[in-house]
Amino acid sequence: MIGPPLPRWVTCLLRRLLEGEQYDEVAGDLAERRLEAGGAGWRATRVTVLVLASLVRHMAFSADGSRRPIRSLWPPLAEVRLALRRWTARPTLALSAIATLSLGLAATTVMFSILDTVVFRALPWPEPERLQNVYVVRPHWQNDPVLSTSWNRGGISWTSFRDIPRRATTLAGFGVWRSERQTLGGPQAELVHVMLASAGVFPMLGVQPHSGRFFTREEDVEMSDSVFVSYETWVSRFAHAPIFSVCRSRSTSGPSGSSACCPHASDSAPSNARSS
Amino acid sequence: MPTIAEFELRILLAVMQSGEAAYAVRIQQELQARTKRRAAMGAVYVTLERLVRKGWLASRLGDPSPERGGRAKRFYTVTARGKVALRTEIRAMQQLWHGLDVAEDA
Repeated sequence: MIGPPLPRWVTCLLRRLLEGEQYDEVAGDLAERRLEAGGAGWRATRVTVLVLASLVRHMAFSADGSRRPIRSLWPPLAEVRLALRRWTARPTLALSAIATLSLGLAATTVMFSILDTVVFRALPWPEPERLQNVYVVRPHWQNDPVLSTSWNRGGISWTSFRDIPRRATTLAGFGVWRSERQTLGGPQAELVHVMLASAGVFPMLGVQPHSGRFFTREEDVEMSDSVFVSYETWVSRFAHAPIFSVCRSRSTSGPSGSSACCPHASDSAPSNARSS
Repeated sequence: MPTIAEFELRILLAVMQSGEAAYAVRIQQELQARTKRRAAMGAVYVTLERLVRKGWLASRLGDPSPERGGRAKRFYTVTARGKVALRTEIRAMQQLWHGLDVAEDA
């Protein structure tokens, strides 16, 4: 009777363990044992696994180091075995070692996460090193108990917004924004984060509209009904509608007067739509 | 003369009991049938190889057979040095047994 050939994973493993005549001997014996167990199916697989497991076990830990390929293949096995034996012999030492390792790993992970976020990972905009935040500094606020926390982080006034681009010749682009929360109407009213943004914000960040257009310079001066909706909101709230109506509460206190919804940092395809 | 371990002794005796058909699978079956104890194939292979290196076993390849995927069996026989080692071990065991009564209590 001709038996089925050995499965590929079995021959691959045997090739890693044995070589030459040793391989032929064991592979032949295994083929015979599998044939006795039905040639295929779970019984043959069980026989195979038992033989391979005993091979690995006895070749890795044989007293005189015979069958060296397995030793050179898995050198850490002996060390792991020794460590486990010592740990089981002294559980207190094992617990302190595990606790030390856990604390060390946790501390390293936290430090790396912070460094990765703050230092290593670049902002999700093209040429992030060219982006600068601009604040108004008011030194006389430093001694005020209420205002001292924001003495060097003041917002820009409407006048400054109009003057800075004209006077600062080193800036390639300039934009202002302000975050707030407003109610998005419709069948299910929802409190959403919105940004009042000037026309220069999105081109400066390198964001491209999925459809429609950005705000225009004229809309920085003249109040308009234009809104810029994030892709996420466009999909979840408006079902990819090409044109839709957005009810918004008009805000006149912003420097630009345009109401906008900021694209999420992970959104690659923001959408624009005109409201009616 | 190198010392002989217990499992080596058993393998040598199983090889002799298997006669002409002493290859690894048959030796393991012989061991399990006569001692009523499981013997792992890995242990059998490792011990057979060690006994060959000690010169107590000799091996030869048989003819390839289709049920083995065209591979030949490796047959083992106990060499003259192996038989000397066996006799020495058995004599030592007999010396240890001498005068002892381990018969089951009635």
